[in-house]
Amino acid sequence: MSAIPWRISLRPGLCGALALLLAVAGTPLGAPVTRAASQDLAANCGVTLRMLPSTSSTAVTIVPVGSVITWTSIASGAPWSATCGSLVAGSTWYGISAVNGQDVASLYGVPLVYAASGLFRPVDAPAFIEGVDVSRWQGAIDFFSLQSAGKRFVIAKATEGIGFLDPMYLSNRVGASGAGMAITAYHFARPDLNPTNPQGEADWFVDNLGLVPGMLAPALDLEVPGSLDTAGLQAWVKVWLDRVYERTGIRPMIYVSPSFWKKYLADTTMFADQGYAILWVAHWFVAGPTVPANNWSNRGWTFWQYSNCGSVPGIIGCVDLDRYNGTDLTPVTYGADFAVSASPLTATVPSGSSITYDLSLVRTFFTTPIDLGVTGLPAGATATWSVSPATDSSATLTVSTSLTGAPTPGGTYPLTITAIGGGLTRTATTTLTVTDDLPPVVTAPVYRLVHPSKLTASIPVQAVWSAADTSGISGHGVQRQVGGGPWEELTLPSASSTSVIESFSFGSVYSYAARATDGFGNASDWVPGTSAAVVLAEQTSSSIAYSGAWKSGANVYASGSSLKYATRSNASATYSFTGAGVAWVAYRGPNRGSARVYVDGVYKKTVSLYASTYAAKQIVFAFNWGSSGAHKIKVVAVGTRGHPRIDVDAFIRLSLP
Amino acid sequence: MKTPAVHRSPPSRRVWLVAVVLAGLAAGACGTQGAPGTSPVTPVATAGSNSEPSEVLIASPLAACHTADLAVRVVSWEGAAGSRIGSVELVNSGAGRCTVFALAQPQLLDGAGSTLIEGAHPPLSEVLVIAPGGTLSTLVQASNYCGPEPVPPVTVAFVLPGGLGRVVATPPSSADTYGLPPCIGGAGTPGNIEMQPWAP
Repeated sequence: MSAIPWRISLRPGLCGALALLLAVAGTPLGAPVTRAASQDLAANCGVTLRMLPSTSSTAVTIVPVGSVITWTSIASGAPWSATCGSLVAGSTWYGISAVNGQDVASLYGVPLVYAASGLFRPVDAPAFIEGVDVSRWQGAIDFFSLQSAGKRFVIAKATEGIGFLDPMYLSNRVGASGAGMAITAYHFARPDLNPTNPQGEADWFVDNLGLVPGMLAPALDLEVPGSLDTAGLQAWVKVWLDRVYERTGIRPMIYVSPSFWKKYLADTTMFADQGYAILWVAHWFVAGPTVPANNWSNRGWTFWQYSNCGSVPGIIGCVDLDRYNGTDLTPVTYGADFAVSASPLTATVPSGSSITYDLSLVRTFFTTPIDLGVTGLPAGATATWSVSPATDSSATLTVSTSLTGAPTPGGTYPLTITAIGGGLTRTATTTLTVTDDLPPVVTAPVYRLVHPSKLTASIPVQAVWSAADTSGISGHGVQRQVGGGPWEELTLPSASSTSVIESFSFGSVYSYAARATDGFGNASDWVPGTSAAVVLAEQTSSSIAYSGAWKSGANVYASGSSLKYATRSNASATYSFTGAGVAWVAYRGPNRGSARVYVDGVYKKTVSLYASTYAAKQIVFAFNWGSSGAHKIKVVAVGTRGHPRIDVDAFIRLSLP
Repeated sequence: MKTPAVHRSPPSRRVWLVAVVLAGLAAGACGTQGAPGTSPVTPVATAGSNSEPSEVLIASPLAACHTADLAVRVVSWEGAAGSRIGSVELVNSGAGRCTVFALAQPQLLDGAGSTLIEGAHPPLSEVLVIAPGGTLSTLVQASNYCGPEPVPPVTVAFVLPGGLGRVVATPPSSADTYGLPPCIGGAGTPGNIEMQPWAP
């Protein structure tokens, strides 16, 4: 224009009116073209229904988003554009015969109403991601405008046959990526030109593909059969796909129309069954595509080219419109991966406290939500996630230990954090050390008379205690005090001993105290038991009541050099006392028989005093309660045939003064 | 540019005559004339339907090219996902300078002259001046042919605006059918053909 030699000015309105007139003259209103069909579709947004296929036609009503319309014809009418989920435009209209199952004739008094075709989706269809496929036909594309219009991916033609490279491929790839759109490329197959060299076409494609992580799966565009028969074309496609997979590590998708697949590839499921799971199906003027190969071996379509002439910002003229079957492109993205790490790598907390770990999810073209979990927690600890599944790149994990209920034991615990998404599992490890500041809980010693044993100037008494700690017990200790004297720590047989057997002399008072140390070295205080003493009641004690025939006898080996005995059955001796334990002292020998023993009226056992040799002062039975109380012990002669005698030499009670 | 993908009724001849006369005015009163010896193809005016220039350029009027003076050929076909793209070349084989609109109505033809797919009538477009021997190029894209088997070869034609006739492109070869796009919409669905503006 700068070379124009002269110019004049006209009134602004003149050329404007001229342009308007020319525009009207050059834009004829097309007559509707209808196609018989019937489909149900759902409105993606509020949709205006009109009397005629034109935005200037009378509006009948506006149906809300989600309304289900039944269309019976497709009409070509006046251009329309709208923002309905994404920016859409076109000139195709649905002739609608019913809304939400009701005839429009009854609703509006007309047989058909019209709505712009781009405002609907298949009923119950999942959400989609919208995109376009382009070639050099589109020329220079404003990808930012395209992205702003809601298009999220671009499939660009890269190559055709061997030797042809789409001159716009590189700029399309760079431009789409720069605008933040997912990108991939397709190869236009030419088995008609290279019937015996599919590998050459695959190599030509890969050589020019420029595959980098983040790109979507590349595609093979199949629409030229050449002269190959079905088997030949299947083999051709197989070689091409395998070669691209071999060189790139990603299985390409297949672009095809259902009719082509059925006619030229015999509707085979071979490719879908062999891992080529991504179908980019081309099917226009339908509410939902026909999916060949038995619904692509029940995988359905992944991409759908649903229009050959869409109008979108950023592209001049018609462009193919495509749809991804889902809301997350990660499963079809090359190199999509993620890593998880946790911080801090090690942490130490006292039991009963909590620790928060920061999780970093480094996503590489991976947008799928990630489920989070943790294993290796100590007992009594709980894990809380800030979010799971995580849709972002970070999350926090709070591990709370417990001092109540099920207390968390001290110790060092390797924690494994597991992140799962899109079929990938990634883990991170961290180490949690739980410290234990609390000493073990120790019970006061209790005392038990021990039998069988022998009465001497003293008798064996066992002091028993217990200790517990969530971190475990590393050792015990016990002290003894006699007659109010100094405490003396005793040596235990082992660190795990929780009892000690001592000889209690009659007339002395004993006390014992126990303590324990846990795995973290926390030692308890000494926990004293009550004082204890053993008291001897000779057979002559007034606390012993005899029933039946009992005889007294002198015996220098018996306690007090005397004892009582019975030979008749049911002769009994009952000792009443207050104490925490009781023992029966008797004589064993070849002529001794058995006696039934009752404690507080309850039969406990039958004790045999028989022995091949004689043994005096034998503690033949003992019973312990742990705490002091009023009790009775009764021995009843059984009347054992041939050697019925039983003796009562003495009873011993364990007194807790 | 938005080209409807459907067959549309042409405007009446009278309407197009008015358009051409006005376009001539545009080429004359609102256009420009390339200086002799410069490029053999010169754009003289832009009068798109949405433009409303406040000033226009003046040039001497030139005659529109006669179809007999235009030699058009399909240089090659290539494929795209569901469509075919033809690279087309136009040469002014006449003796004098003449003008063409940058856009025409494209058609996909078979060897018997049958119209397989008919494009939309174009909006008014830039007027280009072509010197003798001058060449213009364009791309044509066609998709969704669902009709009967065509007679080879398949080629394209351009119906010039204003009733100036139609030029049929010479196909790449006498048996070439590669420009026939596949049927993807199904029987009865409309085909689509459109062109990019002629450009030097």
